[in-house]
Amino acid sequence: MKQIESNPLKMELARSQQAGPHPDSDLLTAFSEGGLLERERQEVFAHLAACADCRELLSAATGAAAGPVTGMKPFLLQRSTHPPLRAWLPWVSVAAGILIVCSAGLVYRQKLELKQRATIAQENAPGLPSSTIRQASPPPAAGTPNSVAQPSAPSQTHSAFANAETARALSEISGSGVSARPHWRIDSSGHAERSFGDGAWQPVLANESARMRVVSVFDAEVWVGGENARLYHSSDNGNTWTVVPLPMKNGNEPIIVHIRFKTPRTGTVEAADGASWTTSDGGVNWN
Amino acid sequence: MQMFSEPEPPAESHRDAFLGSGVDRAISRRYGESGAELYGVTPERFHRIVAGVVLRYAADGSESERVELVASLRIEELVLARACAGGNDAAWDAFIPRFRAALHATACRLTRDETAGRELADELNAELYGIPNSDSRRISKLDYYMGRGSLEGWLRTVLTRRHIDRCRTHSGDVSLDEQIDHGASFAQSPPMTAPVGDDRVAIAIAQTLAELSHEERFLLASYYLDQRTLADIGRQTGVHESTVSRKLDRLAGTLRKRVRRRLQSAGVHPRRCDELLREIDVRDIDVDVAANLKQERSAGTF
Repeated sequence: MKQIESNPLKMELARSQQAGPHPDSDLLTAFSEGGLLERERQEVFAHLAACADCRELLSAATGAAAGPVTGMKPFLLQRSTHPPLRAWLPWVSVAAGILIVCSAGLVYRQKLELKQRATIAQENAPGLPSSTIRQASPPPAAGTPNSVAQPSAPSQTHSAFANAETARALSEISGSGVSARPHWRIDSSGHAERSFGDGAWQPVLANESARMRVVSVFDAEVWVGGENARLYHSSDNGNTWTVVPLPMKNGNEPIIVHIRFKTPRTGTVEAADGASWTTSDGGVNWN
Repeated sequence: MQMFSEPEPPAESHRDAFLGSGVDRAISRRYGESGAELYGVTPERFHRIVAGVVLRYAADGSESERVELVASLRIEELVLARACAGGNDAAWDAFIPRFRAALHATACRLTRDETAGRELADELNAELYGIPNSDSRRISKLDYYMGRGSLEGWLRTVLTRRHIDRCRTHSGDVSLDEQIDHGASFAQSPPMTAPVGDDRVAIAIAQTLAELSHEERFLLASYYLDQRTLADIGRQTGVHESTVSRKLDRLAGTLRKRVRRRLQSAGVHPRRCDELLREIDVRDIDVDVAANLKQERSAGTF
């Protein structure tokens, strides 16, 4: 701003004298608070219009009324030891977002694992891959059969217990209400089938061409037998299977028609021609 | 060294001071709401206190104006301040929790430093409590409070006055009182330099400014001279900043219109008027506003 005074100090003095006496603190306060009579208000306006000092005073006083304490040295202020909540909000949002993404990832991964395990189980069940079929060690010389099994195909037997993990996996995939205990049967075409109680029967030993005639379950131990002396054993509710060779008797391939196990390790297999085999070690040796 | 000097505290008026029967009744009516009994202030002393305020601000006023003045007083805070100044312990017990923290906060806002703020507030607190004079009589700053505005606002204004005086002292400026003491008051008014631009424009502006009300000139001075913000001016006048903005816009339009009319009245061709007004930059107007405002320092004393 351009100055028109040749001597600012003298002009300031002259200005002060011309402006008259300053209003007291009461009047200035009441002026800013609207508490003056109209005559007084006009008088204060007249003075303020001519007095830069009082305008400065009034501005500073009203500015200090409710304004924040600005410009103060930080260490002199009694600041909160914690930043205000609003400063945390962005970080809380980011953390919440990360947590949600991680949780979703974990849930997705868990479901994927369960699905893979169920798929593996289903793949193993219908067809028995050659790699999963273990050839049992040849049994010693066969003894005399002491029992004969009755043909029962197609038959259905029930397992006493189920593979809990597999059943749980399938149950989680297919929904609740699915039984954890597998059911077994031999269908009309001679294939062994398994179901988890949802009405869907899945064939096991799909690559086996011989007709199966009987299935026996004791806990997780599953025995399936049929024509051509075929005897299969699974110790995990039918997920993996092992071919069990039986010693030859009577010079021909027997048709297994009966399987009984009193314990998981002790049982008897009977053929249609009256031959029978017993084991007391879970099928490793047969007599 | 102080730039601003507080007036002498008024002597409490005598009971028999004639203010008018209506004023006496107005004063008596306000005794009950003042809480004077809590601090042992008798009705007689209460009347003297309020009468002193009336005589200070409305000595020449009509009775109705005096009654209006009595009704507008912050009577409870006035009694509290006077009771504190009189050394009443109960009054101080009420004063300290109400105003001490606010005083300290205001001092910190002004000084922008807690140490300086505390020092400033402590100085005022000492004066509020009272400083013994030559007669060993304790004189309290609270005797100056007249109850026109709020006590907190008054304390804030007093604190601000003190802060400005301290700033001037520390910056080496000479306070106005000191200048007067050194005889500067006898100096002649400094000669004004020639206004910038066409003299006819300057004269027209000066005449137009002279027609404005005090409030309009205050707005112009605050906005163009002091460069205060609209919000700041609004706080000072107790209105919203949007109201200040509208007033200033209207004022600028009025100024331009009146100056143009005056120029035409002085024989300036309308086209030339437009040219002259176009040549006037806002800053030039500001200079002229400043000059004319400074030439019109004829505010009456009160």
